[in-house]
Amino acid sequence: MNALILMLSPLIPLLMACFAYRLQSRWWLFAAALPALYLGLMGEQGSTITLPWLMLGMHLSLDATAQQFLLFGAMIWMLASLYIPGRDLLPGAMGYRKQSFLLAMAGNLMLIIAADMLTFYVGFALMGLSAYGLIWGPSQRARKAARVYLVFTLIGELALFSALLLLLVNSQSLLFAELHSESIPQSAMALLLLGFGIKVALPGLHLWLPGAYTLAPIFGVALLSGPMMKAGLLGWLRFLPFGEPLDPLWGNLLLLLGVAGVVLGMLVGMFQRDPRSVLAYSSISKMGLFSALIGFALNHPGMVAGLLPVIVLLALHHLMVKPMLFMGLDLWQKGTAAYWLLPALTLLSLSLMGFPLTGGGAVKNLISDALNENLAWLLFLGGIAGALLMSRFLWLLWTSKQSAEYHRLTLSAWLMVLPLAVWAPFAWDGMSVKASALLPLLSAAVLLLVGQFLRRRFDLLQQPMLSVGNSMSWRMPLLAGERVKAESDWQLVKRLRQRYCQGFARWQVMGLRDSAVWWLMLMLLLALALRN
Amino acid sequence: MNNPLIWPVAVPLLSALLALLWPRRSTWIGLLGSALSLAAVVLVSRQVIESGAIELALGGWSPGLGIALRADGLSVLMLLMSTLVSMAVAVYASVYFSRSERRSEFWVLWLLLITALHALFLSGDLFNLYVTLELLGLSAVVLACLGGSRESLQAALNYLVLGLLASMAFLIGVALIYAGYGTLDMAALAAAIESGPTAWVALSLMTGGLLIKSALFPLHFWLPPAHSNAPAPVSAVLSALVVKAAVYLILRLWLALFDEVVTQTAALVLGLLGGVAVLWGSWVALQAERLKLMAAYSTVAQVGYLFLFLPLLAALPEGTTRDVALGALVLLALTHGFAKSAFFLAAGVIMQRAGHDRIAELGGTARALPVTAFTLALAGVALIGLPPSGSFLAKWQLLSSVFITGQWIWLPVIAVGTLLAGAYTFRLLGYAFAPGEGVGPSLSVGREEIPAVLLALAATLLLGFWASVVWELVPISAYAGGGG
Amino acid sequence: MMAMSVWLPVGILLSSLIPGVLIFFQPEERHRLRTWLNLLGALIKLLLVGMLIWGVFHEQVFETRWTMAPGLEFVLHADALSVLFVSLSTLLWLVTTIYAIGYLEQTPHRSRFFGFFSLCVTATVGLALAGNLFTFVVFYELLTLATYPLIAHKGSPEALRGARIYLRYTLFGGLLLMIGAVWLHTLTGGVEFVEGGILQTANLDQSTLRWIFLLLIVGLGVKAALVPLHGWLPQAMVAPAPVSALLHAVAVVKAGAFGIVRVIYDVYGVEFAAELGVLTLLGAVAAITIIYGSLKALSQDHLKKRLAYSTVSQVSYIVLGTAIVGPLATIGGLVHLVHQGVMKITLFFAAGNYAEALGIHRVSEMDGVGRRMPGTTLAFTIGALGMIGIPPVAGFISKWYLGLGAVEAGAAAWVLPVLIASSLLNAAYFLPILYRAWFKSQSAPWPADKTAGCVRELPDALLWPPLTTAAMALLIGLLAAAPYSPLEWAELIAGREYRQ
Repeated sequence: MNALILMLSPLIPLLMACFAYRLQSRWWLFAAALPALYLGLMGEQGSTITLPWLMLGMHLSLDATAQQFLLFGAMIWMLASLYIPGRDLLPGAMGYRKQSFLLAMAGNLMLIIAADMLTFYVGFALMGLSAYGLIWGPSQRARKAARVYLVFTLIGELALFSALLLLLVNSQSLLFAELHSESIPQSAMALLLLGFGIKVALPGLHLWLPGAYTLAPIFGVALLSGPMMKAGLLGWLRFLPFGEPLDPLWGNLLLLLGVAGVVLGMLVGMFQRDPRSVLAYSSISKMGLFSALIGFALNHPGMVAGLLPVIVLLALHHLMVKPMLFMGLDLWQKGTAAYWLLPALTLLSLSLMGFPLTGGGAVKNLISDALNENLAWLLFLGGIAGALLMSRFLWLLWTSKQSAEYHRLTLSAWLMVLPLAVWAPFAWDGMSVKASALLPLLSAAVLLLVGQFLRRRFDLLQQPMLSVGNSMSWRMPLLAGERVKAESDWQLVKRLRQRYCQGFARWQVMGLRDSAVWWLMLMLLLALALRN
Repeated sequence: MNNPLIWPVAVPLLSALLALLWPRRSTWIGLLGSALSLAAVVLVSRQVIESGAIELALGGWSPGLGIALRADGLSVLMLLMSTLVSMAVAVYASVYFSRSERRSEFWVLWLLLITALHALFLSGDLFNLYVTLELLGLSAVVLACLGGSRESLQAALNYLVLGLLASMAFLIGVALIYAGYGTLDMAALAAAIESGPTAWVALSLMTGGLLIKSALFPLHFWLPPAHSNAPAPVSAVLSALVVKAAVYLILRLWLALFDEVVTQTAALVLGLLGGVAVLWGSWVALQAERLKLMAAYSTVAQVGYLFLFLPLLAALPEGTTRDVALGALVLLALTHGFAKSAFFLAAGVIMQRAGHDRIAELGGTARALPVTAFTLALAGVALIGLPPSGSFLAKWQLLSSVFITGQWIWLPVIAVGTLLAGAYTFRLLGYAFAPGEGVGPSLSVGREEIPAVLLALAATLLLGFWASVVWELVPISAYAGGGG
Repeated sequence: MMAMSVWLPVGILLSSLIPGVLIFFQPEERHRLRTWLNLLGALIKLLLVGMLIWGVFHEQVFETRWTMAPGLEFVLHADALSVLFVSLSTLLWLVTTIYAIGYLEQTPHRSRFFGFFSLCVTATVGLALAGNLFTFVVFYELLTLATYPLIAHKGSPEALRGARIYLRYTLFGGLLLMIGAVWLHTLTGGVEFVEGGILQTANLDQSTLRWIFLLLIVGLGVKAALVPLHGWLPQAMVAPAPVSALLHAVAVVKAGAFGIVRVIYDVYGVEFAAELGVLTLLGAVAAITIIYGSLKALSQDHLKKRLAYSTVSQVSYIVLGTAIVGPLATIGGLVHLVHQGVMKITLFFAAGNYAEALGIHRVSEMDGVGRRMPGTTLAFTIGALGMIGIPPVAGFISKWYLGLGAVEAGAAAWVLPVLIASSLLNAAYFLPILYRAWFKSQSAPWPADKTAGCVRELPDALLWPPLTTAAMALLIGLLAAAPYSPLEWAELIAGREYRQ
């Protein structure tokens, strides 16, 4: 039964994609992720299914990592499905959002439960290529961003394809379990770094990312930044030979690139004027941290056992928080309920910064424990980067303008997932306050103050800034770039009050459907809390 | 009289006499005569296949004094081709000449021509050969004049003069042989002739005469005007059969009688001439503006192919490989006979329908005359040497002999010749399949189209799939000298 | 049983030859009879091929011999490799016939067309079943003859010109092939196709064998459109769509590629050929062809021309797989023989549908066509994605095995870059088409809208063939590891080739 559901989780979205032109409700898309959610919650670990007749023989299995990825991934997919605008669901809509969404979901779920390289690759390719339709938009710039994304994705696919061939001939088996019987060829290592490096946006390979993140529709960005980006990371976890002696070149290279990513993301992100692009560069910075950790783990076989699960936790945390931030930003930019969205977004940002008593902080503690005093400087740097970027993000939020429409359903769903994202229950035990954890935040605060001073002094940030290292998007005018007129405190309070009343009035007429979502989400929360 | 050897000669001769006496029924007599000679030839071939070479001494006199007729594999094959082709052409001619006042003349000459051909293929001694050659040449010339135009008369006159010259040379050669060896019986001569001045001179004279008749380059100049200006059925027979008769004689002389005399160099000379003929003939055919002229030059080229075999045959040791090569030669000659006659008949149909045979104005042929266009295509396939025609097999073996003997020089000749043949054939087909009104409206399939397509089918399918018969028959020889 | 083993190969030939000949003699207006003859022949052939597949799988011997001349035997022999090609041609013939019936409705000269169409398939099947080099040459030339009228079918000056160019190339190629074949024949006394090759034990002069190899490959390379012998292929796209489809997918181009496979595996023997050092050269030529064809395709605006250059590139995958020594590369090359056929025929059907329904001949006219003709465009999309090598469409399987074979043979350093570059280029010339079709909206009126006001996209006979072949392309990729799939069959062949 479990095996059947294992097979169904990618199959159902696939089949739905075939008939997507008839599905005019977003609830179909929502439901497509249900088998995956079931697997994440109740799937029996270790259940496998082998389909020898499918392609070159496909193997699916559910291990702990896969289960966690499924659970949190499925939630983001479900949440994102609610953000698909109604006009994209109509028959004859341009852009094939439904199809792209379902196919990308199928690919993502397939690669998570893949037990062999080929299945992983197929899922990865399916996801990567279908995401084109999630980025594409009718505007010239969106089309260009989608095209750039596609070129990078194709190069990544082909690098991965070649790596797969080399690995297969090397180990004579497609299964991950039998992958590293022999030492891995150097060329395969390079290709793996390249192939997944594009997906996780290593510096130099990140050029597709800012355009895609700023111009894609919000559900597309949420998915790109969450489940899809982490698929690259999962790829490394699956393919790289952890715990085996290896040429230190690769680990060091990855470490170096990762650090470069952290710094690049921080430096460029600080000068962005669109909150979305700040988040985009924050992703680059964050993924740089992951890459550096993976590089470290590669070079320290002894520490792998402790380190990898924690990296997974960190990844899952980011997988939840980053899409939440994007979607929250969307709500903020469209929403009338913005007054209390800001604390929620701040909470998410704090979690992403690794603030104590949030999930992010907890995972960070775990990481520094697992690292055992190594790489403290990296965590410090990562902390500063995160804090600076998030501060910049919040600052931009605070100053950005708001429009006058919002969608109740998406807002309620978002709010439901929020606590999960911040305090994902997998890290309760790390929930403690450590003075050292505050150190990077304090440093960031100092830096910010210095920056503010310099800004006042030299008017630094008012110059139109090019995004460094981004040849693709240098012509892109920044979205909400124009500075918001100063508003007196009194005016602000008055406006917030008005909003509050309006918002409250709307809550009175909450429909049956919305309550159903609430109810579902509540059940989910309970289930999560009861797990373990 | 259980020896059937006399019939292939006697039947057409008697029919010719009848046609002369009864001109109003000449068409029926001609057709019947052709059919009966076909039957006679089939009778002879059955006997040869069953019991080997057969011989008939006319008048009961022993060979050497009287007229001897002999039939072996080679002659049976040539007989079969000539009788089948002439049968088909006769059917065509019965339509072609149905309203002509020269009908009876045609049929008499036609039957005489067949008689001469059959006699030539069956003759067992040299003097008989001379006589049949002369008869063949004369009847051919008169037939070629039947077109009646000024050009055709001029061409026929040239043909006549050259033919006489050739016969004379042949006769002198025969005389020399008689002086030298005291006999004209070929079987006896095959054993007797040795290399010596008499033999050299005699062979050169006889071959020289025959080269004119077979229109080998550079003695080919008479052929294109004569063949292209004659009436269509006559052109068909001239190209397909009369030229082949000369080639047949050269083969007989070189392979059976004078095999001791023939040197590699002499064969090489003929081969080189053949090679030039292939290239030159094909090239000019490619330039030709008229259909029949193209066909005539194509004949020059095809005859060249036959001569390419001579140096190879001379270089091959006697035995299976040589028999294979010889069989290929015969097969090529047969295929060409069928294909070229089909080609000329088709050209005749087009010419009658369109009133001209300018290639560039043949657009619409495929629509108006699909069967004839199909015939041209099939015949073209055989001329190029593409499968499934007999010439494909022959070319294969020709190439094979080239590789075995190591005479690489022929390889480019064959290759370029094939490509040129392809070029001129498909140039014609390109025009024929193009849309246009050059040929007039579409009509139902006429009786005159059928013989041509049958001949073309014989060249491509029959000789392609049942060609092994040729190689079975060729080794059956009436002469001690070897394969021929 | 004995009789069947002799008659089955002949029957397979006759099942298209006889309808073809009969159709020639049908008057133009007897549409129904002609259709029945065609379909009957195709179905009978399918049935017979089914029997053949079963028999060959169980190692039965099917052989017909006929002596045509001393030392020259006409041999029809069914081994695993021929079955692969025969079943491909038979299946696609059936589909293409249906398509052609729909496509050529109300046009002149249909009897002629279908007659030659059947002859063309007969020649292709004959090529596949040829048991020795001689028979192969016979059918190779016959194929040239049967295809020429099909290319020239429209009778327009461009069609005649295309056909003439086609003929120039193929006659030249056929001649070289014949010379090479005769040469080899005189050296060995008969060239039967035997799994594993016959020459390694023949103890012949190696440099002679290299020359012969060159002759044979150049002769076959003309039809397989190896650079620089490919010039005819883009010109031949003036033919009607069903002809182009068959030409690119099964008949001509594949005949060349199939011949190269035959020569290397069943005449020379792949290891012996590698020993002679000729495979490196062939591999290089194939690599150049792959890249060159893709580059040329990039700059074509004419849809069918772009597809034609794509064929130039894709067919050399087969040659590449053959030129790499090792069972995996062999599997890749062989399976691509089938996969490329199915995918490319889909693309050409779709291109024909665009031209037929809306008068679209150029890529730049395709904006928004996906909305107007979703079925056709879906088929086109599947074919194009397969060509790029995106899983799970069939093309991916070929690419996978080719790459694996290259890695296994230690040739990864140059083969993988070629594969990758080619895939990228394929993406670069196919994806813009898909983009235009699906994502752009119609920018100009259709050049010639013939289906305006119709409820349906196209008549069934035009719509279903591309959808069927697209589904096939998807299924043989998805079910590659299932029994009797092309991949399984290619593995069977490779197993037999490397058994020695």
